[in-house]
Amino acid sequence: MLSTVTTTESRQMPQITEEKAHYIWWQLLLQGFAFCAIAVVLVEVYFRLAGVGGSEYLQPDLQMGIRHIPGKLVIWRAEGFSNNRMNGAGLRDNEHTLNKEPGTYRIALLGDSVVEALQVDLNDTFGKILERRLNKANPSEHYETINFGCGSYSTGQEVVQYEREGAKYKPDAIVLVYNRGDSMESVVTSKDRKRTEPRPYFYIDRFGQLKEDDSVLAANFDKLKPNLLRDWLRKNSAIYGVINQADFSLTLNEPLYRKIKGWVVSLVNAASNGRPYKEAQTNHTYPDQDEMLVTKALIHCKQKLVKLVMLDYKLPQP
Amino acid sequence: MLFNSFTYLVFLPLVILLHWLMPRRFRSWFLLGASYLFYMNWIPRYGLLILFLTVVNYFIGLGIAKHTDKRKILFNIGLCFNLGALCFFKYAAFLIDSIWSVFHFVGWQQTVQPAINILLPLGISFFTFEFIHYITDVYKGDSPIRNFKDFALFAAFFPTQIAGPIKRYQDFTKQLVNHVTFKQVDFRSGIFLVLQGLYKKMVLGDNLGAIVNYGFTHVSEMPVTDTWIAVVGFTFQIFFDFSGYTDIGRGSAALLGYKVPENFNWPFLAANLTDFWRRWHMSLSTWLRDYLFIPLGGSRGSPWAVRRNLLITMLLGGLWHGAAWHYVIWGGFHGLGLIISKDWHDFVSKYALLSNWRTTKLWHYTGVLFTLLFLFLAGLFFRANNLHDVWILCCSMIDFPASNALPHDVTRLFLQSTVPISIIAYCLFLLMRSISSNNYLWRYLTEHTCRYWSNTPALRLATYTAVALIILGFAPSTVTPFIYFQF
Repeated sequence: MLSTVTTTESRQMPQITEEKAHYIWWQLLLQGFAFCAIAVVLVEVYFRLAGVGGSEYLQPDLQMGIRHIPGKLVIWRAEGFSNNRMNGAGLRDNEHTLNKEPGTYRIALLGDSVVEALQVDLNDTFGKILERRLNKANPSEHYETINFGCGSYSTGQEVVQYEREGAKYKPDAIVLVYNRGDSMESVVTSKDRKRTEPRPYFYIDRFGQLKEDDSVLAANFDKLKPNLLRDWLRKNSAIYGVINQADFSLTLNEPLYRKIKGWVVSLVNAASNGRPYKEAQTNHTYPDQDEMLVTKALIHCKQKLVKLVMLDYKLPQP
Repeated sequence: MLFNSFTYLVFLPLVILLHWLMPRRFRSWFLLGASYLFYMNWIPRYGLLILFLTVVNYFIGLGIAKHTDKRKILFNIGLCFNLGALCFFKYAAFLIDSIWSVFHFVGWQQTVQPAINILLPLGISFFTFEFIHYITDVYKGDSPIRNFKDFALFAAFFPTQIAGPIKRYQDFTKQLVNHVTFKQVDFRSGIFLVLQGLYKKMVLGDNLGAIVNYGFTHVSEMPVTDTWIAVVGFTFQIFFDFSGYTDIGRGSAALLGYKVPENFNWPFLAANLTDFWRRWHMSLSTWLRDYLFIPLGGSRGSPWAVRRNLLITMLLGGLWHGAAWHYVIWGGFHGLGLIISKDWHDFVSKYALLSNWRTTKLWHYTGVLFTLLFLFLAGLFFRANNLHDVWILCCSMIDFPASNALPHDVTRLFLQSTVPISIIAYCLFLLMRSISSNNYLWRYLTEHTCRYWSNTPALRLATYTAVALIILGFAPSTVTPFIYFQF
């Protein structure tokens, strides 16, 4: 009798356990998903309240490598503080119409992070100060500055940016702020081609003509092409901003993180089978360039278009 | 290896995983190896120093227990050896510098000052104190640790190696003998402590530190609000920094199944200075009490003897913090404060009226306020670059001479930073944890929530992820070492 009961129980038990286990697994997954979603929403709200994760302000761009995210509210806390929105055209400035008002003297400011000046409030950028001083000194005239500055831009990128966007604003003068670093970033050597930042590079061909080399951009096409989800997150998610910023800081400061990240990237590349980094190919083979010669040529190209003022600033010595 | 570095973030989970997967008999050996790896990550050769100190103290401990006739001499040798090591590495440069300053003062500068360039081994102040505690207790009759591996692990245990809490060997070896076992509750509390510690250090301490550092490097330019923010900020910065370190250490130990003593118990709620030292850096204050204050005579003897003992204990406690005169002055300031606090307590006890008042809430909160003010002032000696700065800051705190058109950079930095919202969030969290109400609904809600949280892994995981994200979001981009690492 006892054995019969045991047998009956042992026959029934697995069925019950199986059903229960299936239910628990399903419930756990749902619970996990629900709690993670709630946590993400709460953290996102908290980050927004605190103004954290708002320093993600650049997005990939097929022509420029990177550019500002239009309309993005940027809260910057590294080396200073600012809390301003990029304008609709992706400039760190107030909104500007393409057509200037009659009697307005427009000055386009080109440069890197020095012109962009995220470390200070928009009204305290040198562009705004220049605009105020010019208007104060010449009350009969109306001066307007437009800030095209973008962090990490090379002089080459600034030329492309001007031709692509800046010229539409029909400036009367351009102020180009540059340093040697910007010049060096305008050219790429054959040795650095593989690990360099994706951006348009320039060289002078054997006829002395300035040419654009977009092979590095082409090689990074997959990385730079629009990606709906990533671009949306970049623009709207503070959590995404935090993770990206942390990745940037860790890559910069932690050798172990760099190493592990390198292994992970290699593994992913190996797993994606045959889609490793594409070596930047160029139809134009050219020797390594003198960056100052290239910069001069870039400046010359702009000088033909509009009155140009050069501002050379020295990098602080470490 | 810093607790707040990426390296530790990789190191700790690996150690925890391997530790629990490993057969029980190898766990101590494994932890010992991991602790040396942790220590030698900075300057590998200093691993030999800690090994040498361990070997010597191990044999001295055994010797004291074995040779009863020579125990006193062995104890003295051990004491001199540990203090000698501490003095050599920590105080040699300070001592020579001070002697040459005296020479300079009396106008005797015939010889060139010898250059002493010794890098302070991390945590030497802490592990030498643990060694002194060990040989003293063995000398007093406690049994020594016979197993070298256990003793070496007691000395090198990585969660407490660099900045405490200063362990008692009796408590630690008991855990080794009984073999630590995996308990979910301990593991959970370990994760909680590590996250809380990281929040305190990286979100509160480091962000506050940036503002405080700015203030203390612009001492003469600060108006009254800036000065108060910098001074109060420093007191809280050091608390968040050090208690954050302790939490991470205790949490790491709990994740490995070990319990290490607490170091902080709401120190800023202390109603007097004596109470404060019972709540702040508890492992050091009990060490100072047991191995310095009591051997000096403690509270026995005449009132003047007690005062002297208190002052000496705190002066040496100050010197222990760092090889510089401002630490000695800080210790002396606290010593004087303790004397006044004790005398005031004795005075109040004499009068029934005052004694009755002492039980009122107003008396208590006034005491808390005065203790805080004292701590802010004492913090000036700890943090300011020199005594001249201390004077300037004291004047600025009372707005003397009155400043008018000076910039309010520190206030601006404070308001623009994430510190205010982080502090509010942390205070709300503490409030929620500490509210004990007899209200049925509240009790039902809290108990039910806690039980649900404990029994729902998905919720726990989501909470941990959310807190980790918050730490990541609020932490500064560069890793700042813990303040107490320099001691």
